[in-house]
Amino acid sequence: MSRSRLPASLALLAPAFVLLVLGLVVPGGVLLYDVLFGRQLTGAQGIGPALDRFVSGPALEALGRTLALALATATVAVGVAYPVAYYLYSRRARRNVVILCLFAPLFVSVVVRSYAWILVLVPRTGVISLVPFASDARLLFTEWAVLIGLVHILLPVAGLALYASLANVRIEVLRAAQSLGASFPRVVVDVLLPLTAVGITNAFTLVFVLSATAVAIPVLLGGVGANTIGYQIWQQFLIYGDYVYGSVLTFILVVSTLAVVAAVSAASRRLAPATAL
Amino acid sequence: MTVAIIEQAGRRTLGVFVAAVCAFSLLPIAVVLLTSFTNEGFIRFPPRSFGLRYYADALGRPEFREALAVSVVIALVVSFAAAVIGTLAAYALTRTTFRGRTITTAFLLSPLVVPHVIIGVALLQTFVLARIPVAPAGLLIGHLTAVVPLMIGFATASLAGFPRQLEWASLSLGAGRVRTFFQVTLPGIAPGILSGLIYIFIYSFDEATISLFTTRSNFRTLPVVIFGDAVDQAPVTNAMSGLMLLIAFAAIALLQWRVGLFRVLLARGQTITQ
Repeated sequence: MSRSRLPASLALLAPAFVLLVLGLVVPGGVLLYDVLFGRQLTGAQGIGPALDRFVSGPALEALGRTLALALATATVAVGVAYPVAYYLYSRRARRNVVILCLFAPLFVSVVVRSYAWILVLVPRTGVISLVPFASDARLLFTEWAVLIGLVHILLPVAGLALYASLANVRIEVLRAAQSLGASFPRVVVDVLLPLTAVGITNAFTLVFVLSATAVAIPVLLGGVGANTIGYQIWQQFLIYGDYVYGSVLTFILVVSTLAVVAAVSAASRRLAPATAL
Repeated sequence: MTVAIIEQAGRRTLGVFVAAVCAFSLLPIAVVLLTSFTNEGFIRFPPRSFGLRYYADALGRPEFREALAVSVVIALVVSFAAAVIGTLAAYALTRTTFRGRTITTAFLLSPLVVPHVIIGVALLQTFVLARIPVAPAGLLIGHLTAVVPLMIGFATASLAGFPRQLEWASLSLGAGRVRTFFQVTLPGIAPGILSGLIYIFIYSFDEATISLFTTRSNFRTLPVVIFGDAVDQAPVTNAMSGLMLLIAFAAIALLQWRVGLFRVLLARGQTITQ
């Protein structure tokens, strides 16, 4: 249609641009300025003292634990969601029921779901006290509760990403492999997994980033017991009111999350070179 | 005959596994809902007597009613504003060509890859620096920033599926571009916009991370109130959660009935993986 009607398209794009400047660009600049030059509540100023405080405080350990938890969450969520996504891809039986069970929780607030897990995991009165062998397990306010909560929240996210990737695989390709004598496990390992390697990496990365940067779940289910970086950030901003140090922690979290993402995608490229079919 | 890739035994194992995952997904929601109808003075599972006592209790609390009103109004404003802003942007991105379209698209979709905690803390700092109360302005801007890319995704998908020949016909018959948009294009893409609107309403209504940082003690959304009360495990908190669940169920039913839940989610999924 019309080419280079810049003024018209500019007018249509203007509201979105203004919004992103107000919601992302300016606040991002303020955040970065505070990280580099802000004065903490302790009176120390600049990025140097802030990093010293980070390295010598509980936040360093929290960062390591958060990244480990996020890797575990991504592994479990992708591992559990893959068979379910395969079920949705290959089976018609009770498809709508499975879709509803798996994806309905996406429409329930993270806070409500965390609260629900508190009710399940709380010792003595929770559902867990009715489970044989596990009735004495103290999971609440540990990393385990955070892991369970994160997997529950991110399972549908992983399922969607994996399904989107599986949907591109033509079923005839699997049939062809089978008719040539490959057993089902062989079809999965040699055909299905390589063809969906990109989707697996996407799902893994997405779940990893969302769990590493989660705040509500680690605070509610882990608290000081699990001591995640999300808990530390929440504490700095909403309990102590040290916005500058809180910003530094947020910044460190983002940088290290991106570093892990870069490592994961490099590793996956080496493990599964691009397959075109 | 559908897919016979996997033999009988394997199919049964897969079925059992999927059923177990479904049970895991629904377990906590069922527990909250069931215990919210307790008549006892404390939470235990399973409750021994049932009633609506704590729902009445929750609805009688001014702090709950205020938070409910705040949540509903914010979600309404956010979803309608996002529908307008997102549809306009999607129209410009799909129906006009201009220099730098790729980078513009990347910029407009960039909030999808920005964690909510960053949006929240950055807005909080900015408003404190500017000495303006962070709620409601910061709350609205934060929610809108997070959802406008989703709306662009929904609207782009609808526009891509709408035959352009109809627009050309309208233009060649003498209708202007504006008239063509309102009388031809908009009615055609309305179902997609509507499903995006419902999805974003519930997204904003449920949102907790941005809200945690951009609300203040006398202007809180429902998730933030529940967040503050969660440690106590009082029956009234269950009733508040139960009411949030009912609103979520209404949105699910509406989407399933109008367009199909899965289709809506897949439209959203595409914007995420882009």
